[in-house]
Amino acid sequence: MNAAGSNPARRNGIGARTPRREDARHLSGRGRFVADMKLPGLREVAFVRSQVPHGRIRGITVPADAEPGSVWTGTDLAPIAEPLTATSTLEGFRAAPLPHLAVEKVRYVGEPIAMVIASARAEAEDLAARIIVDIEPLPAAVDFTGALAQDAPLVHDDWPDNVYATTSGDIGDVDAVAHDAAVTVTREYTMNRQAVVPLETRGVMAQHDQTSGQLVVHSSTQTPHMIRDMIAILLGVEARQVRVIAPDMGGGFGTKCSVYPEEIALAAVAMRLPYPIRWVEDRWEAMVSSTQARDHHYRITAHAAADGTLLGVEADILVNAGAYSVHPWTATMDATMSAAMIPGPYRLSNYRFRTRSVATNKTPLGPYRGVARPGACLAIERTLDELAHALGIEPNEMRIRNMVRPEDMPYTSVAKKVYDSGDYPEAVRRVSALIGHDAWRKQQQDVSDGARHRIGIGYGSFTEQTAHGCIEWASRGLAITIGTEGARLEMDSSGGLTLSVGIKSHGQGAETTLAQVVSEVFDVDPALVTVVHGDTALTPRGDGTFASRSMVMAGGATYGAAQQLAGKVLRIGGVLLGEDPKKLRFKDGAVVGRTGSVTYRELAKEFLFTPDHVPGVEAGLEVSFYYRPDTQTGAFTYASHAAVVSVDLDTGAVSLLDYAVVEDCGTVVNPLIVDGQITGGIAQGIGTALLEELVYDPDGQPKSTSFLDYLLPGATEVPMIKIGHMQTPSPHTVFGVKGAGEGGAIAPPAAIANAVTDALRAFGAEANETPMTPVRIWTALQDAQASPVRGAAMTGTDR
Amino acid sequence: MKPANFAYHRPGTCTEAADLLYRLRDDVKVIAGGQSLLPLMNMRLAEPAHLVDVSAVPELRRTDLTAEGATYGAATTHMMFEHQLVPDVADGLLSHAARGIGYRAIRNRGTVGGSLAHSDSSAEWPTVMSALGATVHALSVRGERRIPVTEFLLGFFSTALADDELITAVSVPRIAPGTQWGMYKMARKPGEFADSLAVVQVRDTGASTPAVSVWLGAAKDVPLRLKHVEKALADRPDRSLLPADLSGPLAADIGADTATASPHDRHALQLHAVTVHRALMAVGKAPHAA
Amino acid sequence: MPHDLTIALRVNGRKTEATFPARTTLADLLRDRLGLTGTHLGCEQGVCGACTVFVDDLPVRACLTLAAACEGAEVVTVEALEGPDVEALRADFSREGALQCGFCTPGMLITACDLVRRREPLAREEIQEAMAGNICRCTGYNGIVRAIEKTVDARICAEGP
Repeated sequence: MNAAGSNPARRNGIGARTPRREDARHLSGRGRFVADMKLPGLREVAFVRSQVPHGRIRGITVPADAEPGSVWTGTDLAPIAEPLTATSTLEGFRAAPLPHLAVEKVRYVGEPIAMVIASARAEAEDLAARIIVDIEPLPAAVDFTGALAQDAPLVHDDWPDNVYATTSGDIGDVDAVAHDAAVTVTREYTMNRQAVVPLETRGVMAQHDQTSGQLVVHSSTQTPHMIRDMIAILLGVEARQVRVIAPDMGGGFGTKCSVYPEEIALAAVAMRLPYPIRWVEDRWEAMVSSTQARDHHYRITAHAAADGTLLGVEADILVNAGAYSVHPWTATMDATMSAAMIPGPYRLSNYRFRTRSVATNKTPLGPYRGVARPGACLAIERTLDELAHALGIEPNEMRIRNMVRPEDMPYTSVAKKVYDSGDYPEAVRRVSALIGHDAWRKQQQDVSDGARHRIGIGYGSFTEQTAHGCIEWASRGLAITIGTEGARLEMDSSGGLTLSVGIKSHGQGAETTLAQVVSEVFDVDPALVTVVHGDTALTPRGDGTFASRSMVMAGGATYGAAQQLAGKVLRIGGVLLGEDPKKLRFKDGAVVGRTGSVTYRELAKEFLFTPDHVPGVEAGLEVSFYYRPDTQTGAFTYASHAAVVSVDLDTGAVSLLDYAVVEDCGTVVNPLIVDGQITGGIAQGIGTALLEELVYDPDGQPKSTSFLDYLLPGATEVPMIKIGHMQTPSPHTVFGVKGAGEGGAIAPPAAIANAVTDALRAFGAEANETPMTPVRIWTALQDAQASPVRGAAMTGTDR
Repeated sequence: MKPANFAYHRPGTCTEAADLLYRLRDDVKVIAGGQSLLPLMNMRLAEPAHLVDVSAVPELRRTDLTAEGATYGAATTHMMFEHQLVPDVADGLLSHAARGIGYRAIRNRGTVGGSLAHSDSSAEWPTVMSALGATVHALSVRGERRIPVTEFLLGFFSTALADDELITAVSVPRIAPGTQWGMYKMARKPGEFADSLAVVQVRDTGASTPAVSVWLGAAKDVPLRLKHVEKALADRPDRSLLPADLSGPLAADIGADTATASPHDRHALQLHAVTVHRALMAVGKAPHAA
Repeated sequence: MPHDLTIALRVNGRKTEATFPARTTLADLLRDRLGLTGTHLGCEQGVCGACTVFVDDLPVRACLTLAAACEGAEVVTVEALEGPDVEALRADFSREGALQCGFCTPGMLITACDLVRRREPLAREEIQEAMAGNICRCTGYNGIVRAIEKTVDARICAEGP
């Protein structure tokens, strides 16, 4: 199955710019999110959360007038819900059981301590405010230096230090190439901690249906089937007794694909209550208790030959993973992924790395669009620019010289990833043209010395594993090796098609793109295909929507189901038309033969109402299909981004003058949707690069926990993005599709940091920490001007 | 994130409001547009037992124009200044300042009186009204008093208003003939509170050097008049001082010790210098009153 | 415990009487008591703009407006937005990729509608500036800006002065 299987005659099939079916309900205010649900007798939940980063709980005092059943603590919950432990098969990994409500200790500001139920949210907050939690504060482990110090406070008392796990590798002979290198640079980079910020916060509603005996949990989650499994396991019930529904969701971006304490706590308590309960996360809670992202530190040493050939790379990677390891991703997800992504799209044979995932008294780290890739991309791409600069090579040319070439495909990277297809250097050439490299270089040179701004051009390139199968997740040590998706396609008695899938679309437009896949086979208007998702009772099992996997995996499953159902419909058509099914085809919602045609409506009615009219065809007009890729190493989406910035020398402010991307996500199913994913990802990457930072004070108190002090990109911060597409179908996937969800967010920090550094070359200042706030850039400029040799002193061995 | 309980009062006149404030003075807040107070109440950082909503008091929306200036009712919204639905006696400065406040939806409800009562020096009105020499009218059961804005603003969230006093109006003197102004707001994003905010007025007095006044917001807990900067400008009739020339006098005005300052503080001082410089460059360039 | 309040107002063209605790915001009144859940709460701090509604023809933050202060007010929410401007905006939002998850969309539409109603030709930068008070986490704004540009072009510029 590949691109050759697609049918160019289909107006609404693969590649069509089909308008999104999701739009109409949202444009009229008729979406239905968890907070919009109404149930008779519904009560609302608020949580009492830790206000201290680290402390020992001495006691919890509940007001005497609190109604019975209105307050639940960790002690109440312990007998009815097991704590969640994200295990890993990585050698030396230390598990950190995550209590749903804290017992004994609190380990970050925002950790839930007690759950409070009242008839309205405001009243639940009233009662929560009257619960007194007596906590003996303990010193907190906050940053890398503090957490790794000999006498560091221990986040988990029974550990010898604050390290979840250390991983390392040494491939080739870095020391030998270091000796021969024409240039060696060493740099340190920091990508600070940020929040994920789907605009809809999390929300959970749980009801024990007394009639069916089923626990029904609505949750704003990217992974309904996984949540259902974990609720069943931790509550000690059978999965069939639990139904999880994810209704409309206001984004997720990774922060809604872990199993959360609140989901388990509400489920466990609802089992014991005669009324439904709901918790809607408020913005403060979202900023401190939804999983956070990045918080990486890198020390990179790279060696290159005089012609720019990248000879070897050494990487020391630190990830501040926070207080707990989240299920199923674990606290080492960022570190191990980062180590694998540092080699980037480059031909590299000598690579040495070490990663340490550090436990601290910060909110647990979880997935966020791109996961570790934005950090890894920043580290390698900034380093590549420093090598290029030292050798007097243009940065785009440096990339082209070192990239894996089309003739090298499939290429096994030094980190053992199998790059499947594409022309990486061509993406650099095209993005250079798209941004107008030469014209900007000229403009840059035309800025007079006396001007108070400078212009810079920067590039960021990456290749990104998407839609990987079980072996990849197993290699990361996960207990759940994700890699299968189910789809069920049914033709009803009126000839309509209903597709049910295990993924959860939450902004990606899968109700449209999966209908396009059905349309590709059946030639029906996608608007006539109902796509059901996000309900474990109505959909076949699936792992969920994350890791840029849904179009490949659920698309593959949908295509498989559609192909099988199509075979049957053709056989029915053959009987009804008296023709050879092999000679029939689908057109405009009908089976068409040489002598006549039968619409799906007529066909379905005949077959389902009067099966005796259709002898020789077995019963049933629906198919379930489970997709698992034959090749599990993933389809590699790649891109090159180019940014042009203006840096205000007086303030350190960075503004984007231009931004371009050329990407290859294989066969594009819907250009409108793919462009939307790219632009939206870039906007988030701009946030990472320039604006977003969760600041913690030295004691571990988060300082930017509202939208008043956590800055998000707005319409004025995102320029109009120029997008160029290349389409190299993946040999491993249905239609040659590759994942497109995350890529946009990966390269902006690298491209913008390179552009800022390019702008400031004359001053010797570098942008090596995100977000590149005015104070950081201006201070870097001051420091560089104060001691021109500092650059060399700080970075060691430029030669 | 819902407000704590409070008792709600909705007087129809200023006198009624003053009576309520007197009666409830132990734990009461006045609300008009609510654009500063409600975020705090939603986050339960403010939990007044009583709320006196003055948005239904017609007197608070009145504007009185005289030869000397204008008295704007305290509940005049930023939007009304922005679109000059009230006369702009500061030759366009009031309109210009209002346009920078928050977003349109905020400006439609937020009021000048509320902003002054909130006393956040990184907001527009405290600095602009200080620079213009405006006066706050405060009413209580004891009667009305007038407080120059510069004496009214005492610190962050702190004013000279007594617990039972209500701002009824702000009087702004007409900008003197021959005066040109320049304003610059430095913020990370449009609509954000300022990192720095400067208002410059240059008045041609007929003397060889025009009279220059420079006010700065967001540097201290109240707007500052920059005397040292003004003195430095007096020596430079063309006002061609660069940020680097301004940081010395600015540091003296702010009371910053540049030797011991942290990188953040050094950058803050630099931003103020740049902001003052840009306000100076903007003098006479913004659109005038309609 | 303070008493509940009762006010009369018009919501989406209908006379409505509502009773609620004093601390109820307009957003919660609309969502919880009047069933108008199209008005979304993204921050309750007045920043994200998802809860933007029209009160007496002006866009305001429903999370920063007390329901009690809406006595006699005329409130219009996304559910009742209608007319040729809005229909053009809806079509252009869909065509240009101006929404993904849909959570910010109601506030975006109200703000965009207010912008189009002013019947001024607008440069791209002016549109970006005017939309700066509405956060979208999905689209990166390009589609939103293009959609408003198109509507402005078709409904204002084409109509001429």
